[in-house]
Amino acid sequence: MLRWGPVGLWGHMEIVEALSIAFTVEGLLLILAGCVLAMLMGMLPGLSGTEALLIVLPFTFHLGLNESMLILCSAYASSYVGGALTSIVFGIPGSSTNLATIIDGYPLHKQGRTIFAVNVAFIASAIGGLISIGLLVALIPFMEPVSLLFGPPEWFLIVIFGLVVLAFSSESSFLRVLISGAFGLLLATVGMSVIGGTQRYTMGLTDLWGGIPIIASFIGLYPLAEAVDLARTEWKKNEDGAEAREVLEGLKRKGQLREAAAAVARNPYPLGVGTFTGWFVGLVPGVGASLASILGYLVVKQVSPNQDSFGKGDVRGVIGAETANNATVGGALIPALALGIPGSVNTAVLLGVMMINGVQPGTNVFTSDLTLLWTILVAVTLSTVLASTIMILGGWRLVAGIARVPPRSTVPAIAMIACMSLLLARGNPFDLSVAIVMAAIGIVLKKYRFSRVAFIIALLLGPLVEQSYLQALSISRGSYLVFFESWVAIVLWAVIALCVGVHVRNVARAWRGRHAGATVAQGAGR
Amino acid sequence: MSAPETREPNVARERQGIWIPDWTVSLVIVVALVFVVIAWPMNAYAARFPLLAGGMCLVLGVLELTAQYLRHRSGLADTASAEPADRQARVESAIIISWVFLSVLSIYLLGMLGTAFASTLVYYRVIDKRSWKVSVVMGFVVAVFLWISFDVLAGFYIYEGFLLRRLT
Repeated sequence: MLRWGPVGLWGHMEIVEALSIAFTVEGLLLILAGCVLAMLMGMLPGLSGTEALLIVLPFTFHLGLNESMLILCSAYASSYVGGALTSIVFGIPGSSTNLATIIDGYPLHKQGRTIFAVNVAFIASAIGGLISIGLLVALIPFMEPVSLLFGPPEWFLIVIFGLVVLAFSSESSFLRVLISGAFGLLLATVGMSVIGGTQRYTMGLTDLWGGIPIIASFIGLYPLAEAVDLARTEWKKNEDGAEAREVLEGLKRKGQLREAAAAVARNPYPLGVGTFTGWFVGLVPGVGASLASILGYLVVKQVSPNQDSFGKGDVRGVIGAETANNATVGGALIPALALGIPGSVNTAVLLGVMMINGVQPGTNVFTSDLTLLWTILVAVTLSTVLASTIMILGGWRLVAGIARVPPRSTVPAIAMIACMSLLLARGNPFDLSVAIVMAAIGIVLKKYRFSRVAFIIALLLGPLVEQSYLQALSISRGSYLVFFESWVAIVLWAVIALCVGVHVRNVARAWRGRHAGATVAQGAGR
Repeated sequence: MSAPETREPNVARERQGIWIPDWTVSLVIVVALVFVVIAWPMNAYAARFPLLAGGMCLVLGVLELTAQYLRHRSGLADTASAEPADRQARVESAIIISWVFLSVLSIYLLGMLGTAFASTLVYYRVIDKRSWKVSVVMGFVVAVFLWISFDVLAGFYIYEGFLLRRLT
């Protein structure tokens, strides 16, 4: 049943309250800080908005929850914008989320239309992001009834469902992603048990009584583990052989904003297709903006007439890729807020902060925490507009200098800020040990093609999954049939079975194909 | 014919002949087994979830190893394991990993600002191959940046390290 608030379905009083939180000097500065930091990180190859989120994360412990959400959500929503500049100008993705932008953005740069291309990318990013947030707002009245369908058994199943879907859609091996998730759930059992308070696997360390510190895990798995690859990243010259400095000199030409706006306005179809593709991809847990950007590009290409010009500097390609990656924000916030299922590391950080502050994502967000919900939406909306506006109005001229910095030269600063932030979170040097263990785990997970996303999501949600699991069994007096009783559970099981079935079929086909190929090759060899 | 050219096919044949289980998956299985064994005597509420998660790790780990073994027996390439890295890349990675680990250890001892200076200096000099002058300046810049932004402006406590704490 839809819940009618005092003025409407959306809770207008809470909107006013959220606006009053955001439109203060402190609120606007937090949004600006998150926005600029995420754009800078997004521009540097090898770094992404995730690192920006993790660096600002410990500062949020000195802020209220709403203020924390302002800076974190603005960093999240702006993280895909900065990378477009690096993709177009250098032909190197600032982040993996801007990979598809290179296909048509870089040829536009080579044609001397750099500023036109970056302006198109920034306008498309803003429109894609805003439409996806609009879709999220339109669905708010339906989220509470949907989240109420999820009791303890369904909540337990949705996490398993999320991990299976993540494994299914991941580039890594299906089994390895599931192993990563299961291992995350296993490590999440370290600390006091949810019921009864029994000490488990703490090795006598009081610092582990509350479980593995999640912030230290984030910092170890991402900025510290990433430092190893970043330190080995060479700052390559682009195909023309021009140095980064020369390319940036080339950018200092007269702006082409009007032409870019007209080009976007002339292409509403790629804009809409890219946005909806990104939004739908964002809904699926674990798929993320990288795939959304590529899919957005491919779908726009497929549905467009005159496909020959794609890859040669077609503005529709830039629009498709950039709308899609930004549109994932609105899509990904739906499972995160309605069900508490983070689809990416970025949404996992947001949920982690909410949980640390005692807010359980799900029904609560749509009943007692509507102000929080609207604060998130206001921050995401403002930062989407702000990020693109800053870049379009020439902010990139100032911040483009950061792209001159060879990525490997940023490693000490990133690592030290990450460690500093880590120590600020709890003020406990023990967290450094956890971060270093997690960095080792992160390096192994990355090198051996496991999934860090599945691992961290499982580690974050582990205690809640355990609670749901025990509650479900307690309700059913120990009967496992409780996990098959509701129609929601049956649908989740069906999708899990479908993913596993399709994967097994694909493996069998690939196996037969490769086996037949090997037999033919052996025959030819004889 | 040079020595490496004659050696490579032999190495490949040897690798094809003996199946070595993936150490990462094996490690997951061992850790899961340890967790399960420790959880077994606990009370039912405390043990239930670790047994489930450990069981999942064991089953998935065994499935992965079985799949790898079948791939190996059929002579098919293993697509799941790590990308092969050359010796140079391995050495570089080892140096950088050591730098990360030693930096974190140094924070314990020297504190945040001392480590920021020392580890930045070492990074620029050893890993980034910059001159002593640049390395020292960069070490100083990073340490001062941390001090100004975190201590002076934000007023946060900066961890001073075990040694300094003992001395003061």
